[in-house]
Amino acid sequence: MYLHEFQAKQILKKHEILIPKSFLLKTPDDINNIITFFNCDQLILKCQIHSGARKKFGGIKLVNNNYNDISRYVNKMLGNYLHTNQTDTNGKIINEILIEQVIKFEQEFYFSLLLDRDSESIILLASKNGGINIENNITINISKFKIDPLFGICDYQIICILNTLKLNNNYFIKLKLLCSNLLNIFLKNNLNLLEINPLVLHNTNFVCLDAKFDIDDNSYYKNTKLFELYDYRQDDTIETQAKKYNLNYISLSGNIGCIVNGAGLAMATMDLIKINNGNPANFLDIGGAASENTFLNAINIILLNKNINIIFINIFGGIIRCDLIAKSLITSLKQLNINIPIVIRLVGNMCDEALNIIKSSSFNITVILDFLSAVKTVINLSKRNI
Amino acid sequence: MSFLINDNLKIIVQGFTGKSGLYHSKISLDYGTNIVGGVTPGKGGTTYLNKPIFNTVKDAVNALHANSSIIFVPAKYCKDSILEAIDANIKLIVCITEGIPVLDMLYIKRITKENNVTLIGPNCPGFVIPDKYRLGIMPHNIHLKGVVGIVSRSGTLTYEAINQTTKIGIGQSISIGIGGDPIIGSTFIDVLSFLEKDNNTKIILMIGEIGGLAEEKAAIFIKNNITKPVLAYISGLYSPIGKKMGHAGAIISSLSGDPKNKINELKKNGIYVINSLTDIGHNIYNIYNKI
Repeated sequence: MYLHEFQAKQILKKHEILIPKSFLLKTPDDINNIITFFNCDQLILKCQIHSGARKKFGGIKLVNNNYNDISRYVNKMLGNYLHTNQTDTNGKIINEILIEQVIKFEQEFYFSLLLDRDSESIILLASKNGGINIENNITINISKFKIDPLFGICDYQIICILNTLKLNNNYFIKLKLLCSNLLNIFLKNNLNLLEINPLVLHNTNFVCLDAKFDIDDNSYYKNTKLFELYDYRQDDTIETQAKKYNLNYISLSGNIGCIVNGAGLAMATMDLIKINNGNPANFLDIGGAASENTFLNAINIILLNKNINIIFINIFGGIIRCDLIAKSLITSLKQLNINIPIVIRLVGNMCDEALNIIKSSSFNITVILDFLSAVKTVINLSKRNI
Repeated sequence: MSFLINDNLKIIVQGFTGKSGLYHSKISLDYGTNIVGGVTPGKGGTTYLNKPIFNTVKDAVNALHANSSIIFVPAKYCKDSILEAIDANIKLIVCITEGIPVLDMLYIKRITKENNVTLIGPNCPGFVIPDKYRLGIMPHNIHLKGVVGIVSRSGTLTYEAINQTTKIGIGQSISIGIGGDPIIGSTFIDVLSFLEKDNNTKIILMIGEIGGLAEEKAAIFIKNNITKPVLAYISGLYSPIGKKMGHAGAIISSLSGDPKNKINELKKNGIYVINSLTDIGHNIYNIYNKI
């Protein structure tokens, strides 16, 4: 789960980490308040969307602190969508603009903490080249430090980081305090990623000019308050709906609506459709704990995508029972009015019982037990319906 | 990991009396798995499926000499349950539960290593040795005793592979789902080195997916350490970048996880990569006839 920059910065501030003086603008009516609030010549306007590369795509602007200049950009940004290389073609809606004072700095650095699955540890990354797009600059000098949560960031590591940043030991105490505060935030909030880019030196103090937090979705039960901060308006609208029903849904560009159990099988179904020249409209994993309403919700969700002209249901029963799936499907169809073809493939736990339930129902459902034949039938039907 | 083919597995189920725990324990017992009892705090002294229930793992271990545990408890209590099992000297833990925070797994992983415990999962379907054991939630009626050792990050794709190898009559020596989370107990490399030593395994099938570098690491390990034929399948080829595909671990990020990279790395190290999921059976049949 991503937080907005302004939300992440609030958490930094609470932990006594320096951030620029700022104002969160939600409506153009606030522009007059801003001018007096800041009392300086220039300001930075930062669109609050869940995406990086904002500067490159016009989401961050340096403006003069007067009504005309500010309102010109605010009107361009607020309520509109910003497209970047990290968003889909529609972009993300801008509902808030973070307005900050300009910080003059001597040096800018890159700093991040991340849960690294491959080394199975917490990794601290630091570079004296801040402000850059780190993903595309693997060649620059980034130092990597393995952090043991049991010991925290050790003194010798602080000295190594100082070396990396080309700073003298006079900064030891300040850097140590910053690092331990950031690690505390990282651990307390179950973050996957905490990125400060750039971290700058301003009057010999460390100041965070940007902040990106990614919270582990699995930690929901530990910190429900934090999850209330999530801005659902940043999601694809169908994906947002699906989340409410506990369905793993991702929109794609095709016309075959897929309902699958298990993430792996859902991905493989998508792949198999693509390999055979069909086009999936979505990825949807109903998970292992499907209930009576699961199919009603799943069908309703995929039908929100108007491009769909066929429904393909692919179930391999493990923890999930095929007979319960079939019952749920039939109950749902009784409540819905579906006029596109449905193809279903059912294998595994209680699948014979499930097939009987489907056959004895009055609905016109095509049952194909062989995976590849089912996929090929679905693709043919999807092309016939265009 | 050789503990898996131990003939003296004495298994308890943590979360035995819950809906899934009870349902799957019954199937496993019918399959011939040696489940000796269960643990549910507050239900100690009662009996379910003719097996005694205890309040703590220690009580169960003391009374039944259990050495293995299957965990069905909700995510919220899962870290605690794993630690409790390790503290009670359990040596094999199969954790079915999905949704454990990655940070918690960081701690759990260290403690399992320190105590020489084999952890399979979390967020996995467990493992089956046909005609012998079923620990977890795999469908029971698709297995056939045979020679293919299956290891997979995805539950449902494990079932697909089992189904196909059964249909062609070659069958499985063991099928293990290692789980779809970013940090898991037993990795591909752990299972691969076990399968290399396992006398019943003649062919190895590895099912990977997008996210992380587990397949890349396994590719190099296979080249240097595995003498048996290995086939691989990778799912998620057409996943959009940055989206989490159901599994917490299935995400293509800017740092790692690209399926094309995985496939290249596997091929480069001499591993046969199956392009289409439905070709698994057919491809294994071809290899089987050559050995």
